[in-house]
Amino acid sequence: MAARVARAGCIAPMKVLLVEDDRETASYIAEGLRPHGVIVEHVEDGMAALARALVHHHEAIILDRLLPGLDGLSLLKRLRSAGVQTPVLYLTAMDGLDDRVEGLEAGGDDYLVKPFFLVELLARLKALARRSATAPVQTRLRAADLELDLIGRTAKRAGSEIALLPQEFRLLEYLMRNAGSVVTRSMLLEHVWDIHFDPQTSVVESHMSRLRAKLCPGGQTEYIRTVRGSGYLFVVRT
Amino acid sequence: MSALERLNNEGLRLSALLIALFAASALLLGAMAYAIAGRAMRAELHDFISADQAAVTSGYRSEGLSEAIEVVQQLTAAPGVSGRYLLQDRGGHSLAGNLPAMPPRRGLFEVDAREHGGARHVVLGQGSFLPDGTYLFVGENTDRLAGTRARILGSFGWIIGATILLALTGGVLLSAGYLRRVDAIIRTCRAVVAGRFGERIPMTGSQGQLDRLSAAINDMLDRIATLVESLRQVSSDIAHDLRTPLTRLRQRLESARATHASAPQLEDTIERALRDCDAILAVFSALLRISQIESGTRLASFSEVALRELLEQIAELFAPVAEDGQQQLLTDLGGPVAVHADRTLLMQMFANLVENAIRHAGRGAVIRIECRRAGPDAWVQIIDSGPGIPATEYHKVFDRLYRLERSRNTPGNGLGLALVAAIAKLHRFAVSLSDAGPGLCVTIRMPALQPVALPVQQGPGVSAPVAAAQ
Repeated sequence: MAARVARAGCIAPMKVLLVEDDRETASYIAEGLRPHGVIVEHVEDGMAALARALVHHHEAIILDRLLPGLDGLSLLKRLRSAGVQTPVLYLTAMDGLDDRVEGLEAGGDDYLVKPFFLVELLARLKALARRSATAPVQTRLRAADLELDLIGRTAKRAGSEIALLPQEFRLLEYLMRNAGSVVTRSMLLEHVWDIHFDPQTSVVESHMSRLRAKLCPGGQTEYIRTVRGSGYLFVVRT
Repeated sequence: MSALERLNNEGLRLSALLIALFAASALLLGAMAYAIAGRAMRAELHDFISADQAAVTSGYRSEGLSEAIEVVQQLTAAPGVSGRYLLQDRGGHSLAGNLPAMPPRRGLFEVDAREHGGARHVVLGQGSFLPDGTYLFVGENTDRLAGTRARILGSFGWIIGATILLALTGGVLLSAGYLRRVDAIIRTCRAVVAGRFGERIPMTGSQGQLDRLSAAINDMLDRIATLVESLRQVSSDIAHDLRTPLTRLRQRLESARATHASAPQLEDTIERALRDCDAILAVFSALLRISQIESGTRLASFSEVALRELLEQIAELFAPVAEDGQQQLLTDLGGPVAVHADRTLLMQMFANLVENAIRHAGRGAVIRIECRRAGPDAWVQIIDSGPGIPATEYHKVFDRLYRLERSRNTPGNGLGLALVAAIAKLHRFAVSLSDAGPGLCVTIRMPALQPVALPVQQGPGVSAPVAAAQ
């Protein structure tokens, strides 16, 4: 199910550079992502990655932090100072409290800790690639019959205003920005509430059901679909 | 063994260095004394010689050669005479004196003089000619000079010997004291290496460099001990707590393989197995996080955190969850208060407390988040109207993996409150539990920062009161 939906959201194949010294992990990722239209180019050490990334274009880079030759953090700093703006997703076992901050400060765009789920990696990769592709300054967001005014922070459905709480607005905004792709629970927690730990209660589910009820009080139209075992999907109708 | 050898070597090296230094300085001093004394004595001899010479010459001047001969004879006859004289005519015949005739020679020089007994003396003297060509030599035995020189050299030997002995003793004592302490440091380090983490270097209280080194090493060992203990705790917790769910997961998969289940049943089993894995991973990361917090490496990321805004955010986040359980989440947050804290951790601490209340207070409960400032402190209370906790369990609920008997069947891994305790301890916040009659009241007292006169920022995430509607 997740596979079908994700494929539908991605027409052209996406080229990704994977920097990972563990071959087994690398082939798990490459095999796992291929059916979803992601072509993985794999290199095993930092220097090779630097050489590839400087010369070739990739839509995203998946970067391990502990690498032979040149570690992930230094590699990224070099890439950024050389003007390479390819979005970078760390995929690392380093889950120290400060590791994440350090990683993002070095120029990374997202941080995923091993062990990870393939759906999580895929969802984050797509979100990254999309973010770099869309125009940075947007004042309005439209999908289906919904329209968000990002300046005035108001939402309209078929022209009539929906009263949303600020966090509901942020939730909807994030879903709509990633319309057509699965977003995971932890992506939502991170981007909407800036929460980097796993709540023990069904926070996301509760907020989601409220948002759904507000978007469509009768429940006839499904804007947000739950993708079992993965997350949520804002459904784009054609 | 090798440590002892090295100690001895160090001691010897130190002593040898001391001896060399002492001996060199003694030699220098001795050489100077020798030179100065020799010069002074030669000057004295010269004075004697000049005086006697003047006496003979003046005798000659006033009354002629005979008087000069007489003066020489008188000088020679004096009892205990040390002077050596010779008056010799132009033909080389001795006229007077106690020296044999010699080839005349002007100026100051030394001659060998042999006494009748055969004893040989070196005589230092001055040769000169009287106006009629008579040769006069006035000298002194240099025995005294040589004797003094010998005595100086002799005492010198003693001095050097004593110096070496002194240096040796000093070196041994010094190195014994110094190296005994180095040895103590080495012994302690080796003991720690051998696994006796409690060993510490004994302190002498001297405030010297070695004492400060010892103190620094002891501090380092304390720090390492804390880290090791927290690591040990984590690994034993992991071993203990993960075995059960892993066994359950294994059984689930095993029985799925054994029974020829249908596709939907298998899918269901896989779904459950994945959930088990998630739960195991969650315990893993919670334990690791607790140990990271307890190791105290997080202090660098502390900053000023607006407490009221943070609590509002928490309330907003959990209000829908409470509502879904027919609970009410109410806030009474008072004025703005700021604390010095790690924002992420503070958020997690309050989230854990509120989630704990939501999960255990039951349907229809009222959960209140209150914040007030009293004196120098900010007080936050999370109060629920649930069944509460027996007072006898208060001290246990903050332990890792502890769960009340009746909560065994509700979701949770028993780490939420342990994490709260770890975060509070890192921040030096005081956490206490009390009876809310009915229900549980968790109180956190934290030192507040002095209020700064700044307009309160209303971020997009901070909205009007978040009392959840029923």
